Amino acid sequence: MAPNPKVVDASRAADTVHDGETVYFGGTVLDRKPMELTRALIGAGRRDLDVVTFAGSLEIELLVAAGSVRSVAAAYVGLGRFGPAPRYVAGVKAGRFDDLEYSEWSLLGRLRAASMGIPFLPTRAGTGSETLAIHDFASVADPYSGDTYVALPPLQPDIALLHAWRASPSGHVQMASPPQHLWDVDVLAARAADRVIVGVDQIVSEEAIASTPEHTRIFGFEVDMVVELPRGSWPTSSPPQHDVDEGAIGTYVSSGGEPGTLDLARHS
Amino acid sequence: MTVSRGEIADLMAVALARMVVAGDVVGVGLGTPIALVAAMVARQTTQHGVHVLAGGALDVSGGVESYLRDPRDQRGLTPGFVPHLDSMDMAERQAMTLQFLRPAQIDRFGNLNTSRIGVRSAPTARFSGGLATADVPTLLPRVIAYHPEHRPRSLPARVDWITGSGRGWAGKTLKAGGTVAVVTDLAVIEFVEGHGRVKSIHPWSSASTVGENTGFELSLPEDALPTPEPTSDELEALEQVDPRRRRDEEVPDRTGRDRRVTS
Repeated sequence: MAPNPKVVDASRAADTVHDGETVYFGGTVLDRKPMELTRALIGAGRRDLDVVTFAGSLEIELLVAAGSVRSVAAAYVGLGRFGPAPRYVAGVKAGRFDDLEYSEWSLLGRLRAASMGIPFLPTRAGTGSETLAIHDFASVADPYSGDTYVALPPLQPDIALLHAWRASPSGHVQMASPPQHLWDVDVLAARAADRVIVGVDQIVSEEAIASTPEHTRIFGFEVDMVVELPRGSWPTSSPPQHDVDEGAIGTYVSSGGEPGTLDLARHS
Repeated sequence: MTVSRGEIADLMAVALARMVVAGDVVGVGLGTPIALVAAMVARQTTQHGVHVLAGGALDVSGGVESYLRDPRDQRGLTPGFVPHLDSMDMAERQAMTLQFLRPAQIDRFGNLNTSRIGVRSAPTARFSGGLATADVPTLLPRVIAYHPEHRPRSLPARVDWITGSGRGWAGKTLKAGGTVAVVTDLAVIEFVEGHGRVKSIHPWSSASTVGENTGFELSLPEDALPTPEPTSDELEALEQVDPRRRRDEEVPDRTGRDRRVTS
């Protein structure tokens, strides 16, 4: 069997991420967060990361606690039904990193422009918003109607880190079916980013993928590295493997944001 | 007259439900049970033909709990799942028509703040962020806000940060109406041309209580009536769609505040 360079361990994957790069973190709120890949980045001592995520939670908490972050670009950072993200909020208030708040349309629209390979995406969304004004987007006149739109430029992260159910050695990535809410935002991020690393609960054979093609959501040619990380999204969910570990998140919140409570090794 | 969290949640939900009109397709965001209950109550009572899209699933039967289930457990309960990017396109082309939003602050223009208090580089408060709060007021035909704690700092003269502009967007073909109203624990207020106008006052409140707790000037038309109590049909629908009363979680505990809403 030919060696397959796509399957690597977490520390090798982290070595390919450099200080100062723009890193998209997949998953949304308490679902499918690439927690083990985040821990590996922190373990490798990465600094000055420009973090991008649609809806961030515990991965942002770990990165902020470790001092790895130069900026956080997100349309939401919080712990869902568990309330605010304590480390993130404290970091913003203390000005420890640049708070690049986005609206949903502006962040996902920029990723869509990158994914589509187009120079900008026009939208009506967010006109008059001070959150959009942070980004100083240009406007564009519709050459047909004359109406004015926000022109969202592409956002191509240097790297996207995702967590998914399973993948083959060649990098075909599968998700639960019917898929979890917001699954397609992960696929979008993979298609917008320059490089893609996917942590999965299981690596399975190419034959296993081919026998269940309805689960395949990202294709091997779109993926650079695959890392087998059972419970790699813990304590966030990973369908169909496990749901959110509410007890662990409750412990984190009641500890006031103690990163040690999110150590997977202690819970395996 | 004292009022419980449950009574407040019930009246806010039905007041929102009554603003749903025939043909609406209601989008419901994350973590807003009153919005979800309101849309489902409308569908169950007066507007059977409307559609409710929440958590990526359309028209889930079986109540609020069913919407919160994993998609694999929604088989048999929903006609189908809508990928998120598709639902954004539905909003942009106005196939989705209405969303209920829960901001931290709302002002007389219907501007919404879900972001922060203070300057961006060193705020005194940072909320979780607005997701589509900035977007839907300039996309959808209508946005209706709700706030379970009506007081001057929640309804200030000017929001500390404009996450979403209340004014909407008007183009040659599509027009977005912006934030057209807010339902609070005290009243229903409509926004008309940069002005707040009281539409109705909840039974446990009064014109003076509403005025004292609002940071901007309100017009109080002579025809402002008490907000009608939930009807028996509405109460039945509330019980059916939310028997575990998740809607109450959005209403702050009233301890120490009952006096303000006592007459």
